[in-house]
Parts: sequence; structure tokens; C-alpha cells
Amino acid sequence: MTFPSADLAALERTLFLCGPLAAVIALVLIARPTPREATAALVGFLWQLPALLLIQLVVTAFGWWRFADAPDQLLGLPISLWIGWALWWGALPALALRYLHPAVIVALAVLADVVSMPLVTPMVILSDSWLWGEGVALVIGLLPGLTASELTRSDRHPQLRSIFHVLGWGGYLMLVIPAAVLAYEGRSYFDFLRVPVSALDWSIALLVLLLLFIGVAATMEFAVAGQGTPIPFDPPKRVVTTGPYAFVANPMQIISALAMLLLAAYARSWGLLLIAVMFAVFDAIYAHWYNTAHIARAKPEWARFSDAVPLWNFRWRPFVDGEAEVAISRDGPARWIWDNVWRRIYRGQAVRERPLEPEDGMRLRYRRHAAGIDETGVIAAARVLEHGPLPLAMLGWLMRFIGIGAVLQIVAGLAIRWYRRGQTRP
Amino acid sequence: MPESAAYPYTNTPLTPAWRDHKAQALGATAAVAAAVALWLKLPIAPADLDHIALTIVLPGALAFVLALAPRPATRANRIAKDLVTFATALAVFSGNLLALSIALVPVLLAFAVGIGATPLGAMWWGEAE
Repeated sequence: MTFPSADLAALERTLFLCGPLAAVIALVLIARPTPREATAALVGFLWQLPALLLIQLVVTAFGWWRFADAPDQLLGLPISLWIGWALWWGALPALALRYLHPAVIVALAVLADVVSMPLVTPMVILSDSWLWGEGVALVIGLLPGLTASELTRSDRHPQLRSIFHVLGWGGYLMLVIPAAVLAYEGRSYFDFLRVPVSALDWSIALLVLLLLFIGVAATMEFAVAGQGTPIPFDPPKRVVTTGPYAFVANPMQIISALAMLLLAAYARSWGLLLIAVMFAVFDAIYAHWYNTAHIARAKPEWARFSDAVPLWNFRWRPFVDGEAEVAISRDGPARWIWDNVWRRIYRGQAVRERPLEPEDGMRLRYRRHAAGIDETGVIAAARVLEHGPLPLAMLGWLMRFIGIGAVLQIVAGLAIRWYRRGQTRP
Repeated sequence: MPESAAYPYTNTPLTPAWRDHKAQALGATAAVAAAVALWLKLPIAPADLDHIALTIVLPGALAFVLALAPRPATRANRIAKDLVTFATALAVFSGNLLALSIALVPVLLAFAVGIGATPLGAMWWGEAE
């Protein structure tokens, strides 16, 4: 019995959706995952959706493979296959982590691809160099998704988990949502990807970057101070009152809604405007209720925080809960800045200075026990800045931004060494 | 046990609510809605199979699974679960409007919070725990 090509491709796509869906449901019933394991499966699935769409863009650009036309597709990727693949590489491996080592899961997934991909024509047409695409797909999709799932499952490395959330949410804001909404409006995603042309475009793009910067700073604060992530099923272990949270109570939600509003203006899209409104509805009603019903009841300190920090606008000066302790060297640039600048910033706040001890390690140490903060060096200096008004605090967030803090620490170390060499010269 | 003692969640395995009558009713609604939606599409051409899988089988299966998911601890979340399950079950008839209905989920969640604050919410979905 032979099928016409279009029918066979449709049948294959159906199997690639229903097979993984049935496998995930079966594994949930058999394994009866704990909430944390289920969260790991959700994290894996949610990682794969933007990752697979990005892989589709890369694969299309290099011509490694292409899919037969489907009635429902996004950027040339059949939606049934997209969801099935996200279950196959996201939820299923995460649930299998209870039984199999991650390396075994990766090996099985690669084996399944290498064997099956050449067989599933006409759904997918491979080029001779398709294995390059498979390698890229592993690096963008399976490996990071599985890593995020495993770290969530075992509740380890919250900062690394948060980086995955930052990248994943960035993928939804900049790729999945605009691509899906514009496709629904009958427009191309590449209209959205255009280079800014007018002053208005540039203003919007810069404002979006600023908002995303604050959003990333807030996400990382959840990890550093709260040892958790923004998703409600894997939350911080304490009420986070530092970083952007010292100025506004729900920075990530406000920023997502505002960023989507700006992206709607950039794309001139009513659909994206609807999404921005839906973000705002979610933030103003459900998320607000969730904070009151869950966090406030579980964490008594939430009441003090929510009384002092507004939900929808920024304070000019930070809310500082509890006492901060600063240990600083007797001389050097940090001492000079402390004596001449920072004392004024700290005016009216509970900041206790103590002598630097050998165990402090560096020339500056900043601690706030109640907030779970203990930093040294440049990162401690950034924390000091965060006691100042909003612009200074934003400079502090920038100094602590992923990667920037480490680079600044090296630069500061070299500068101090150079400064000291100048001093000892006869 | 107060929620605060188990924040955010316990390590108790997630078990389907097979014996819960409301879950059974919602699960049956999802199954019947999917079956009716499939029947309305008969005869199904092979080339339409994946469109049917995407717009009927997938939301039907999701609604069925969600119907039997464990009972949420708070009233508003119980209402949200029931509303989203019911809407997902009905989404099998929405065809190309499925994407729009996904975008409107925050409205359902807002309704759940609103209903949860009324006497009707307390009567139908029980006291907040």
C-alpha cells in the first residue's frame, strides 16, 4: 500500500506529535513524579519551544534540512512536530532522569535521531550535511534543556538555572511570541527582525534593552539572594528584597508587559498589543493574588516588604530590610571612595562599618545576613551602590551583571597592583 | 497541614484524582468533546490528520490530564484549574481560533480570582485552605 507524499508526511507528523504525548502521559502515570520532578519536566519542555524554533532558523539558513509543507507551521516548522519534539527532548528526558543517567539519555536521543531522521521522508528532506544540523540542535536544544531540567530536579546551581530562565524567557519575548502572533496576522517574523530605521525605532529598541537589563538583574537576584528562580514552582527560598526588588515589588512582571507593549509598537502589531494587555491582566490580578495567597502566608516578612515597596512604580531610594555590614581596608581607592562618597549615600540607613579581617579575603566585603547577601571586591562595591538612589543602584546592577562583575574584578585588581607599584617607587 | 509548612510544595508524588467526582465529570467532558469534534470532522482525509491531531487530539488530551490533576490547595487555583480544563475541553471546537484562546488564558485566571472572592466560589469550590 502506498500513500501520496502529502498524506504520508501528515501521517508522520501525527505520529511525531501523538507518540511523545502518549509517552509523557504514560511516564507520568508510571513514575508518579514529585512536584519538583514535574517542574523539571515543565522547564525542559518550555526550554525546547524557543530552542527548536531557533534551531529551525539556523537549519533553514544553512540548508541542512527542510520540512514538507504542513497546514499548520511556524517559520517552516510544522507545529505538530514542534510540540512533539519539545515533549520528546524536553519533558520525556526530564521524567526519565529518575531512571537513567543524563549521558545515557543524550546517547539514546542521538541514536534515535541518527536512525530515524533519514527514514522519515517525505516529512523531512535532509541534505548531505544534515549531521551538522543535528550537532547544532544538540547544543542549542537537548543539552541545555536537559541540564536545566536536571538542575531543577536536584535543586542545584540556582544561578545557572536562572541563566537558563533568562535565555528561555528572552526566546519567548523575542522569538516565539512575535513569530506566532505575526504569523497569525499573516505577516512575516522577519518584518519584526528589521534593523531600526527611525528615531522612534531606535528609542523603542534602547528602551526594550534597558527593560530587559532590569529584568535580567531581577532574575539573577532571585538566584543569588533567594536560591530560586522566577517560576512559581521553583521559587526563591526567602522573600527577595534586594537588587531591583528594593525599588519595585514585581519588576519581572512589569518589565515583561512593558517590553511586550514596546515590541508591539515596534512591529506595529495589534496581536502583540493584545499579548501585552494579557501580560498586564495576568500581573495585576492573578500574580498579585498569588503573592498574597501563597507568599504572604508562607513568609511573614512579605508583609513588611509589600507595605514598603510599590507594585507598579519604582521607589527613588531603596527599601533596606535589616542591617548591612561593610568591612573595608584602611587605605586604597575603596577607602577613599567610602570616606568621601559612600558615607553620604548611606545617610539614614542601618549600615555598620567594621575593620577588615584576614578572613574577609578582599579589600571590601558587604554582608546582609537577613537578605542572604555576602559579597566581596567589586561585587561588594556594587552592593554598596545599591543603597543609593535608583540611578546609582542601576550602576550597581550593571557592575554585577552576568560576566561584567568578573571582568571588573580583574581590571580592579590590575589597577590596584599598578597603583601600589607607583607608590613603592623611590 | 498549613501551606506555610510545605512551601512551596511537598515531595508527595503527584497522583491522578481518579476518585474525585468533579475530576471524573471534567475528564468525561473532555473525552466526549474530543469525540464529538472528531465525529464532526468525518470523513477525515489523511492529509488533514496532523491538523486534527493538533487542534482536537492535543487539547482533548491536555484537558483530560488537567481534569485529573491533583486538587490545588487554594480555592482560586481550584477554580482556575476547573475553568482552564473546561475551556481546553471546548477548545477542540475552536479550529483556527485555538491560538487566540491560548492568548486569553490570563482572563480565565482573573475570573478565577474574582469568583474565588464571592460566596458562590466558596459554596462550589470550598473554603480556602
